[in-house]
Amino acid sequence: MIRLLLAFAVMLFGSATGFAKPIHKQALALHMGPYLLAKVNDCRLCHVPGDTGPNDDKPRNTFGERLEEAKKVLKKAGKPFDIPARFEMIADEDADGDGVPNLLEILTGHSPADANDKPNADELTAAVKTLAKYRRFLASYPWRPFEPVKRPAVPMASGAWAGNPIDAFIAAGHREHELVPRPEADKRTLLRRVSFDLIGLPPTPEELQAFLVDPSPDAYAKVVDRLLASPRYGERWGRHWMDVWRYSDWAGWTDGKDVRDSQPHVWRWRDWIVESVNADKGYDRMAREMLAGDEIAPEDPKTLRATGYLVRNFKSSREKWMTDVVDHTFLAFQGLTLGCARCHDHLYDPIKQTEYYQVRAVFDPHKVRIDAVPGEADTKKDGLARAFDADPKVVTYLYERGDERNPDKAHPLVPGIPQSLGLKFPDVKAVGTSTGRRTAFANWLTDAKNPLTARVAVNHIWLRHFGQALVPSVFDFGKNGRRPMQPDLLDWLAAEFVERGWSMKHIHKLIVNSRTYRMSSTPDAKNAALDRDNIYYWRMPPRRLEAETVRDHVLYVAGKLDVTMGGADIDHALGLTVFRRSLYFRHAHEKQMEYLKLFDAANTSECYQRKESIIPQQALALANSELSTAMAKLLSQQIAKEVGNDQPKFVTAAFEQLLGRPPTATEAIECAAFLSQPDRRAGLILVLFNHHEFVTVR
Amino acid sequence: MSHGVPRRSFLADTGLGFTGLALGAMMFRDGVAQADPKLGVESGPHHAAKAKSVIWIFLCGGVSHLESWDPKPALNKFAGKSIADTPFADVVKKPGTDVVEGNPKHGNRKTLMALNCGYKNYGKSGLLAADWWKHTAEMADEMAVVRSLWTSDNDHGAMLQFHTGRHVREGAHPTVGSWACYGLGSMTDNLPEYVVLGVPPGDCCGGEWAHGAAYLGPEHAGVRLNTNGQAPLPFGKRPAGKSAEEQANEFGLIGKLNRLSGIDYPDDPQLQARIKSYELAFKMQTAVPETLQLEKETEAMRTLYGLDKPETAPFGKLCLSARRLVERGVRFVQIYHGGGGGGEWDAHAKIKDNHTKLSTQTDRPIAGLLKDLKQSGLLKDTLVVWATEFGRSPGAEGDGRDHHPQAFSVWLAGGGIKGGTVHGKTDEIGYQVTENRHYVTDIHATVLHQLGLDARSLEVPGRKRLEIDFGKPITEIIG
Repeated sequence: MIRLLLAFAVMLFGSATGFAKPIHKQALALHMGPYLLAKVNDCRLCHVPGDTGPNDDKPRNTFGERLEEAKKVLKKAGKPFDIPARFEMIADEDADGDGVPNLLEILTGHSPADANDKPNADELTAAVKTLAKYRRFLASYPWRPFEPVKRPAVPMASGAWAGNPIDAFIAAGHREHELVPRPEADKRTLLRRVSFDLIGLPPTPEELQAFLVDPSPDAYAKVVDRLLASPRYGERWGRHWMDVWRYSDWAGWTDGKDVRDSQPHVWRWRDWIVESVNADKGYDRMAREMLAGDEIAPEDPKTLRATGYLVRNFKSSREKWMTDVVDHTFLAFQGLTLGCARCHDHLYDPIKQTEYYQVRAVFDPHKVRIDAVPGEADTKKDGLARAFDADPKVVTYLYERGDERNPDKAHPLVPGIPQSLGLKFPDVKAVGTSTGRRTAFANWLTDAKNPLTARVAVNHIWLRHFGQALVPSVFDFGKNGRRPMQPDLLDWLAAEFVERGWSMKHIHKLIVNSRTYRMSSTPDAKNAALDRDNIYYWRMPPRRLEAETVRDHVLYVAGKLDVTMGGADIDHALGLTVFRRSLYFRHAHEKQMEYLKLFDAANTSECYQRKESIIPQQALALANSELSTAMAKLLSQQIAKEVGNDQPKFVTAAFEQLLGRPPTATEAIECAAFLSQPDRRAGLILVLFNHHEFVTVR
Repeated sequence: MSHGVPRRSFLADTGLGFTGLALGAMMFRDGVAQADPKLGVESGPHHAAKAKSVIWIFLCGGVSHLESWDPKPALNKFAGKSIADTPFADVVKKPGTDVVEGNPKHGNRKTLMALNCGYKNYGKSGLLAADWWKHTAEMADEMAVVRSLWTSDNDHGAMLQFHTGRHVREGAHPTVGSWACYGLGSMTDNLPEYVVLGVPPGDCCGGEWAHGAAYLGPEHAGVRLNTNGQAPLPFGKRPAGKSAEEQANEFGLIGKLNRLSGIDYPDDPQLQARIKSYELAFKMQTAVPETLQLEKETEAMRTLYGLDKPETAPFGKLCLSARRLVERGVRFVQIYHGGGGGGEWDAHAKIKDNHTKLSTQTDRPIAGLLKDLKQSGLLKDTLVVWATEFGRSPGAEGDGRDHHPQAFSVWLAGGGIKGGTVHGKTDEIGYQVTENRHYVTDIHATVLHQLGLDARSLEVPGRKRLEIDFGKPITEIIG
């Protein structure tokens, strides 16, 4: 028989025919983790075949019966009576009377309800060890994303791994899994890493030299502060958040009549993002302004720009528009697949279908428009794209089975949120002609007690520093998502984030100053044998540069990157001839720079996590594009000015400029051989643009 | 347990330079066994191959099995009745042992819906097939239809699952195409070994993972090609004034320097993929535009693939391109139809309009592909697979049909497959599989078997594969 996977724990047999409820099976599987063996992870653990009873449930075996009785006992005593609680209550009982306690039977893969199916002596001996491990597993830090964040205690750590709480949590994982963390990366690697990470550009040779010769203990910390203060930081991290918040420029074709995905001039929202990130505006404040800037500061055009977040969802189909607003707001800010509840109650997470439509009621009154801006009366030419409540009296109904043709008119719905997240929806107070619903919603979202907001945000930040997230399913923190291996670290970061006024810069600083972040990325066979995917961070993962960074890098090393900030989106067709930073070019459906697309630029409809592909087309972009050719020529001329005809010096300077390091002896010999033919200096620069290290951060 | 798997050792190639690595890859070609310098074991296919290449056609969103390869006359007879009021009431009671509705709120529609198109017997074998597929069905005697597939995800993550065998929640795992290429290596230096045409599923449902290689490393992932004749390969032209020789010298140095930079990072899959991508990129500049010059085909050939009609031309181009790719030695061509989001075939409403439109787009081109391959003799060692992520419910969802992972159909043709075969069976209303149930990885195992690979021997040290990942070849449909 085909062995069932844990992930197939969703298996069930149709509600009408009824067998074990998948949710019960899944609850047990989550509770027991790897200790629930596949062969007993089956409905038959608790049930026997037969006609479905009144609770839509199959009849139970003796073990299942005891579980059901445990429920009553626990309920009466006012204790939690969920599946794990019931299970633990009867773990040491012996439901089938074969002399082996229930838990031991399950841990050895035998039925606790069948006296003829019990472990033999060898299995029982082995089970002692398993039991100890299982108990440790139960005692480990629980992952409860729907409960408010409580700051966990920081584990003990020693030496270089003490001091920064992040390191203490990570070091505990090293100890548990017998991993030996890699040493600290060398200074060149480290500076290049943190520089690309924080500002999306490499250090200049001068900055590198200054760092190499700075012996002070806080040399690195000073660099971090300098980078975080650079306006380039807001562009780099602003672009990250543009991914999460689905930034898209106007995707229409005909002179404003054909409007898709967004209104024209939504770039003002992009500028607001970059400015806000640079100013370290609290993440909570940013969320409130994006969702309800028009209610919070109705007269302030600077704040109104933030509502570009809502403008972006625009679609000519109102239904699709509303669906996008609701679904993506929850994916981005709550890590919840609320959209599943559009057609029916959520199968995995405690979200009712009515609650889905209550969230929709928050957004139903709003529409988008373009206001005139000073100096330009024609909103086709320029303007402020913004949200506003156009229809305060709109009534929201649940759609039966999600079908807009079947609204449940008998039950008009008031704005609300999923109750299971433990907070009440704040009182709605109208602001002028606006309903105030979105303000109430934004206040709920950014309440310090909202269990998900901070967790989801710090997970996104962590992902972009390390290339791998703590919760791998970044948009699903629910039961159908994947659990973090460091839930304590995530909770600690979330608590820290909120207590420090939702300051992103504070979290960046903590992370990039950590020993964890500063580890070398070099491989290690022994560690790899124990933790192949680096789940416990025994090394820094090497990564490929993101699309925008590849292009900016080519321009920057040749001294041609134009660092003018902000302004209207630049025609994507000009990407190879206009040298502004990549984030300022048009980014919309069918209007995206091909060069960036090849390097896995954000999909304009959603991108919660970038992919890192390696395809031949990337090689061709770097080898054949006019951008590479022009910059290679320029840079070779610039270097020639410094070194004259000295070929070895040319090679060294080129390596320093492009890869941030001098060539090795063998590399120097290969390059010298290449340069022995005339007129190949620009060719050598082009070769280095195509070097693996040019697009890689180690 | 890695017998027979060529493992292109990175360090073993160091110093050989640009041509060195290509040479290494060439030696695996056509199943030429080679001693793996690192493992000291024989590499290459595990047994004699029947097929060299695969054209894998995947229709996104869930094609109705009832109105394609498993028509059910009983649906017309009992249309409008609740399943409970038919002689087949038992089918919904029978849980099956390991089926599976990822989401009970989907599926389970109880009121039977009549077939939305006709059906008849085709070929000498008398294959019963629906009118929506009448052109393809004419090739019945080349096809082996499997009517007994099941999957576990009742949502469109099943698209990813069909390619990896794993639930979407488990993330990226190697796809069948990446295993084939990993196991056999490339037959051409000029084109990627694994080419992807058409639009993949949306990110909700696996996205690019559906042709990814996961831990096998990006060098074994599918490479998407744009079949738009205007610019088949972005940046595919050398800069003006640069000769091919000049560029070859540059690419040669890139290869050398990249190998040198790997000293501290031995076996880094990213670096290996980068090195390979440069070798390929150089050749692709000429090979890709040449391959995708569909105008070089005769008018009759273009018509055979439906290029003469606007509704069939887009997919016809993909099918014709696939044939030209296979002719030039591409190992695995994966063609998506109706990709993006949850897939276009997802006919919860108006299934008649939806499936009429989409089958019109695909039926003639697919039939054309089979006929062309048959005529030219390529079908002998080209395995064609037609698949979708699940079937659609016998019960109505308004004027549509819901997801149906309990039972659905796929077919295979060529590459040593026994034509004119029907394997597996569902009950009278197509609800449950009644004979020879197969999980999706059995299709993988069959394909790999025809390519000369034993799915079970495809393993990478340190990566656990589960029983369910391997599947078993469906021997009954193998010629």
